[in-house]
Amino acid sequence: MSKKAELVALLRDAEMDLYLPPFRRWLRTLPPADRQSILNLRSEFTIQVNTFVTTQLNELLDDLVPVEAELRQAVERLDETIDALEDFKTGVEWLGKAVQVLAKVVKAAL
Amino acid sequence: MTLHPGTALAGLALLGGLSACATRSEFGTFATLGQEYAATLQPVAEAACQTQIDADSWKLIDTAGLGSVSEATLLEFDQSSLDFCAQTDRLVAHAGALGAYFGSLRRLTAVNQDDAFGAAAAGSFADLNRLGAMLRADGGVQIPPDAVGGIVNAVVNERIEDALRRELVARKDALATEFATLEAVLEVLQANLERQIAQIQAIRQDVQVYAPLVLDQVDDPATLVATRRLILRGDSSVQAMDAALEAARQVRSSFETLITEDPGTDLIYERIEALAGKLTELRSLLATMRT
Repeated sequence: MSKKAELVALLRDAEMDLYLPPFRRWLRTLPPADRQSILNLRSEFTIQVNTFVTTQLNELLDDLVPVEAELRQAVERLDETIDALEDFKTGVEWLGKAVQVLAKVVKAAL
Repeated sequence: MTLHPGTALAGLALLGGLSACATRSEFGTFATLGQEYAATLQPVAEAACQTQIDADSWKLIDTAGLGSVSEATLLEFDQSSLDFCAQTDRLVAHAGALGAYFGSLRRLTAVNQDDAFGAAAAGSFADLNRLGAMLRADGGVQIPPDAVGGIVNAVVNERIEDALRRELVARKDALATEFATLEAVLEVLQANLERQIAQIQAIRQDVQVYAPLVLDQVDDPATLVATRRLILRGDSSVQAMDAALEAARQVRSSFETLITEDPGTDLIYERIEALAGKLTELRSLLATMRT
């Protein structure tokens, strides 16, 4: 397991413990002021874990920015290729008509 | 106009050499499945965002039940949920680009597929042959009667398949990055979803089982119904994430097979059928989540 994966697992386990029933039962035994201080710390820690996950996603998705640009360019090029092939199709159809006309001319001349 | 018989034979030999590649129909199936896969990432990402928001709400409810939540904490949680969803929105936007790419590939496989074009091409060259026959008496053009139409039709067909394979090979590195990153993103989302749902389950256990015994609190029935729905739907969103991850692996596997020089028809079918199977499974899970 990489250091990063170890840290992720550690953070997850730590945050998970803060939401398990035994933790809350223990919290209820504390005086209100102490309980509130610990709850504030728990909220802060939870926000930090959420931010960590979001940052991870952000870093991964950053890798896709150049790929996304390349895919969009590829889509444009493919569309151009498709247009060119459609033009080729029109060209063949035109050739067919031209040959028919030419055949009539040749037949008449012969 | 003349066509040397040697040129025709060389052309046929070249086409014979290319026939080991994947067929147009296989490229078309892959492109269609790829486009469908990209489309399924949107509901998967939206479910992840919704679960995160709901889970954060439950953490706030839990905190409020044990003490109080400051306005600053409330705003921090709001921002945290929105930041997470901004990333899932980025994933959806990226899936849109991937879907557009596969859509273009699929369109390319459909070009020249229609019978009208085949008939027009065959008709043109049949006319040309007839013209050649008329001119032959005059000692002019010599065109092998059957070879021309066959070669041209084959060239038109092979050109598209070659273009498809060239396109995928040219995009090999970008697509490999794409697939590897998507798999990693889905793994992070999957781990996060499981964590959120486990926390919601733990909070529910406390709020609805232990807290009423200790504090003599009776929970609101509407909350009980909403939490059960959230957990049960959360479970299906984890399953959908698993299926999306498996589908991502199958897309990569099919892509790697299609760009192989001579993959063999059995292997291509095996990969594409596996991808189609995973997508069916994923679509079925997504349909469950919407009901």
